[in-house]
Amino acid sequence: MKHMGRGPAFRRRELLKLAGTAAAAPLLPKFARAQRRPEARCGAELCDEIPSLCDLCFWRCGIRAKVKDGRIIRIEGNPDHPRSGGRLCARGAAGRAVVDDPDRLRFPLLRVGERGEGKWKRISWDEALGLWAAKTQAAIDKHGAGSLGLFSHGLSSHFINSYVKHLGCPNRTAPSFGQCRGPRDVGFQLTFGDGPGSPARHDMANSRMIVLLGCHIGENVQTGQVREFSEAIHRGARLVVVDPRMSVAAGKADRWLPIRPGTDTALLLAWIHVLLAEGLYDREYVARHTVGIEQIRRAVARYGPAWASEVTQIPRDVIVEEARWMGELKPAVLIHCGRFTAWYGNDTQRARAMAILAALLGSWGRRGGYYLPSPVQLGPTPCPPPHAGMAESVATGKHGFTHFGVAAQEIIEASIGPEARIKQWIFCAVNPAHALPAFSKVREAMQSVEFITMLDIIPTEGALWADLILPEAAYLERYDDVLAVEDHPRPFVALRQPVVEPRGEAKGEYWIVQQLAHRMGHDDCFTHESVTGFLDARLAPLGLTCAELARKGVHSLDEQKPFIGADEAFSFKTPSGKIELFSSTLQACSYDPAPTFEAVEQPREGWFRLVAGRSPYHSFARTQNVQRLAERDPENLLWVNDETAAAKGLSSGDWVFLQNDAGFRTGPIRVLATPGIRTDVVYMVHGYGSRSPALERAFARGVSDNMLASRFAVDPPTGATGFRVNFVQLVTEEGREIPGESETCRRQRAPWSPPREGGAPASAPAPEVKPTPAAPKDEGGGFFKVKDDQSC
Amino acid sequence: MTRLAMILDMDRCVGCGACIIACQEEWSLPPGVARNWVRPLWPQGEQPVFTHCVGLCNHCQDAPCIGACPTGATYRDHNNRVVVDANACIGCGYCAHACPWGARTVRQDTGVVDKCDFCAPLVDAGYPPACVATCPAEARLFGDLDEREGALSRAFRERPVRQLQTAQVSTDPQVFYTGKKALLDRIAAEHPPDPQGLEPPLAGRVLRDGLRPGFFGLLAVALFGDTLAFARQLAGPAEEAEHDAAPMLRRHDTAIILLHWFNAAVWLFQLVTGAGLLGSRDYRVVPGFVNQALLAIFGSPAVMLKFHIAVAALWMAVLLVYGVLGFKRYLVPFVSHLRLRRDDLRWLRVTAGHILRRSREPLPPQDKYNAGQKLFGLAVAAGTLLVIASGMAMALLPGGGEVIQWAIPVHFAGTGAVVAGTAVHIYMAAVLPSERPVFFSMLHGRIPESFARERYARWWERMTRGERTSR
Repeated sequence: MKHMGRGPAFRRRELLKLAGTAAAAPLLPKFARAQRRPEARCGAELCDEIPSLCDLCFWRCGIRAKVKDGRIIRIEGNPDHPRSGGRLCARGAAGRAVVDDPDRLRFPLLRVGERGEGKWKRISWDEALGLWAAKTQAAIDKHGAGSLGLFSHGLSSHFINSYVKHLGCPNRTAPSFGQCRGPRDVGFQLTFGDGPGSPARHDMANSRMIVLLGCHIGENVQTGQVREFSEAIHRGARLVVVDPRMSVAAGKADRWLPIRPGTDTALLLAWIHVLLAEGLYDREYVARHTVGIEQIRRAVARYGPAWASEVTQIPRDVIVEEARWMGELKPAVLIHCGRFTAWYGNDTQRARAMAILAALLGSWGRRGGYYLPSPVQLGPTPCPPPHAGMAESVATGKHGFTHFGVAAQEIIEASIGPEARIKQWIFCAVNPAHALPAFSKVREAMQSVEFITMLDIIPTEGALWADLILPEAAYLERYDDVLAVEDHPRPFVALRQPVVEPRGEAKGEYWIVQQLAHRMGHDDCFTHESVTGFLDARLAPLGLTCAELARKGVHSLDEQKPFIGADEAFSFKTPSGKIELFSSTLQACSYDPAPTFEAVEQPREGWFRLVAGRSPYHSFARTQNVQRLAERDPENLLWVNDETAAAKGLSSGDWVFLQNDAGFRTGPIRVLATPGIRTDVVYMVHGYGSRSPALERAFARGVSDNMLASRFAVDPPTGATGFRVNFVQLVTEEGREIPGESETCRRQRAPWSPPREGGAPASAPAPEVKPTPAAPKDEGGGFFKVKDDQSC
Repeated sequence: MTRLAMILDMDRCVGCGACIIACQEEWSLPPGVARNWVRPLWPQGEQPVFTHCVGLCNHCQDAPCIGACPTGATYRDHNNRVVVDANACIGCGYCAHACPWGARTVRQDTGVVDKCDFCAPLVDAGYPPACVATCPAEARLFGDLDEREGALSRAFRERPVRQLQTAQVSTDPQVFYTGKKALLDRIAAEHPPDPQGLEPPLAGRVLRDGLRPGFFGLLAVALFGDTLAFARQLAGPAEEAEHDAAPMLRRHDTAIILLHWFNAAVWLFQLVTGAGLLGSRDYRVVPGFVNQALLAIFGSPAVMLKFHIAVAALWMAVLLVYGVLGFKRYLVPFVSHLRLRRDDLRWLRVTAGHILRRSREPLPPQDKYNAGQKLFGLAVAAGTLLVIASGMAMALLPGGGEVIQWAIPVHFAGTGAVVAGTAVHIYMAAVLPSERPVFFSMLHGRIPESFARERYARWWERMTRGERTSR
């Protein structure tokens, strides 16, 4: 067995077959013929192998699609891709079914029924684009460019973002910022002058200690990250997992700290306190590279481990011991910045605490910690800046550090009512039911706005509400903007290219937006006839062409400096040029310049905090309809502490309903009774419970945690929204509470902050969103015809 | 020649299931079919851990499935993999029943059993198995156990590596596990191998423990009877066998003679190939070297099965042609000739007495066939019907059902009835000197009138009535 590598098994027989199959060549798409390679392997037959990029999550692994007669036979990892190294997770491997999904949107559709009813008629692209252009023009003429609102996600949305910006519309938002990684990006950038990167620049494989806060690698699968995580464990790195639930990662940890939810900042501040008090931090690094150590020392003086122990319910000695481990193993200590970081509204401060901890350990720019970004310069975006400048944004000015457009809730608020400033919405690959704050509000806004355009590949909930649906080509059918990866020790560019023709009349987004721009008379946008011409221009500064990049799919650039040298006077991109432990920028904007701990509301007796996470088989809601994945993990479970469950007479497999403190009820969901979760917390995987009957496999499978997040907490600097502030009860189908509480549970609920008054859970420091009236019980295919969702 | 094996590192594995999907995609498995598994073992108990029961075919060194396969479709290949030759598989599911780990499924779309073969086609072409190639955690080590500096041998030297088997089910799996003891203990405790499969399903037990010994018993009795009769005839007064000069009666049409010998040849061939197919430990009917010799002749069980089925199809076609075209001329008279009469029982008793030298009573007069021949004819007819029905079930029905499970013992029973009867038939016709005219009648179609008058008095009477009247 000498050939265990992925060497090309080049054989004469295949060459002969190659000649033989040349006769079938006219059946293949043009690009596929150009890519024909003799070493491709498709079982016994010969096929084409086309490199591209996965789109099942943000990691964007390299793939190789094996294509025969215009059909994808298999998707494998591309070993040339630096970040995935030829490996794919379950979702990536199942990507073929994304293209072959029988529920795909294939033709432009115009709504004919009521909004939410899901009745459409098929129209031509010409009609669709004409209508879209006319509506957009009318809105701009009448109300200005600020009357548009754009919700977008992913590489493909670069084009629509570029154009909407060109129109002078500032009201753009991306759940990936405001509902996911915004706080950590901002918190790290304020401290180090650079964000942690996306994917973050963790040098995990070389870490000697890894600290995960609420991050569950393993259930949350990205190939390269999982590989490095496994490698670190294999090499004996110390792993500490802070999570109210025993995640897969916690199951591998040297220490699992089942923290009281919402108190992570207290733990981080206590660790900082111990490092400083015991002098365990990297003195030389701190002296050379940071400012504000003394202010931080003063700021954390009150956050001792004894106090933190009471707040977090983690024993004091454990807190101290882990701080000492960090001091021992620094600087190769990775305080993992996580990705989904919009939790409770105090999130930027938590991210700041993480960044400060990392800085004190000297792990930024050091092996085993964070490496430095390596900038990549690309050619221009498809549209020039707006000629007439930006219209006034709907931002309220409360959030000084919204790095992407404006906060989603600000767009939503500004879209409700007859006087609303935003009149039209555009969704690009965003699911409003699962990715935006307070769905009841979103629904209200969707009823209010004049026109909704949706670009997507499957009929999600949003499609049911859209007036105009534009079928986008799936990731295996289109070109996207160049992926320039700066967050890798050796930067690289990679290309997403079509491997098969689009289904039906689906189109790549470059073409769609180009057509819109040209119909609107903006000929200075999308000047390249084809997307490949644009990509050539984009790659020109690197001396590459699209065709060259297409051959291997990736191209590594010259290595830059991943780490800070030992005696180097490094200049950080902060106002002071140093790591700002104490942030002058935050101070100038009247936010806390040193992180402080803000208590969050804790559930009272009978109520639970609902936290949500990932399944390795799904990327939230968007993979729920993918055949192989739906088969593997068809519905989510409700993790309930086994003592709590026993007190309520529940055991694993029982069905329960959930009702939140605003009266929203959903279910049923199956209980998983386990000691692997705190007694005051219940957990489920996010993304289930689709309301779109147009998705055969996803519809009404499992339960959506978002439907129970009727309130949200806002992180002041970023405007990011945390969905963890509603509390839930376990109830029967009729909404009666299932009573019973264990002794441990009573103990864990013991208040540590000033006790509250009154019976119902007091409102969190968050904007109150009133529940909308109960959904009409129509059975006619409406948006809310789902039996398991009732509002009270 | 390698000893392929795998080590699963549960410290690395995060249970993401990429291995399942990569496998399903690589081999285009239909929905609902998977060759490997990742089952979450949720945190439970006093010292909770969260891990996954990860598995695939263990390619056991002592694989119960190989012994359980009635056709030899499952075998160990030259790289020590347990593989299935789909072309030799009839979808009976005995192997799926036998596997203590549930690593086999009978696919509804193909009708044959599906299992992990360590991605044999990929590995033989120089690629790693799909699950190994994709595993983001690099939790799978795959290679040759005999390679001293290979990844597996290194792993064996560096850390404790375990097999997940029990005292009751110790099949020597070639998929090994490594990792923290707590994790492996949990996996071993939650998904122990199922010892129930070590015994075949009821149909298989009926075949192995009932029909197979029964067949050999019946054969022994038949041969014993033959021997006794032969001995008696040798010891007794030489019978007058000089019928040649006598006038002859037409007994068989050429078409029937051809059919008889065609039938005999088919049965012989099917017996040989059938015995060759039924070569596994549990169901063997001939010594192992015979199976080996047959396999050497045919090359593989699949080829043998192809011939077996092709010859059966030809045979059925010929029978059908005779049955349709010769319905009035051959089939109806044949059936009516087989009808048992009251004095048939007496004939049997008297014949037995003769053989055992207990009786000198004269035999009752017989029609075209004597009672012994009738019984044999009935056995052949019944056996033929059973064999055809069960054979068609095995060849045509999609796999996995009880029907195919039972078709095997039925096929065996039908064959057994015919073979046991034939043992007597061959002796009577070909060995016993007194019966020679009957044998020759199956060659040239005629029988001496004197012999017929003696043995088949009623038939002789009918055949010669017109003749004698006219005379």
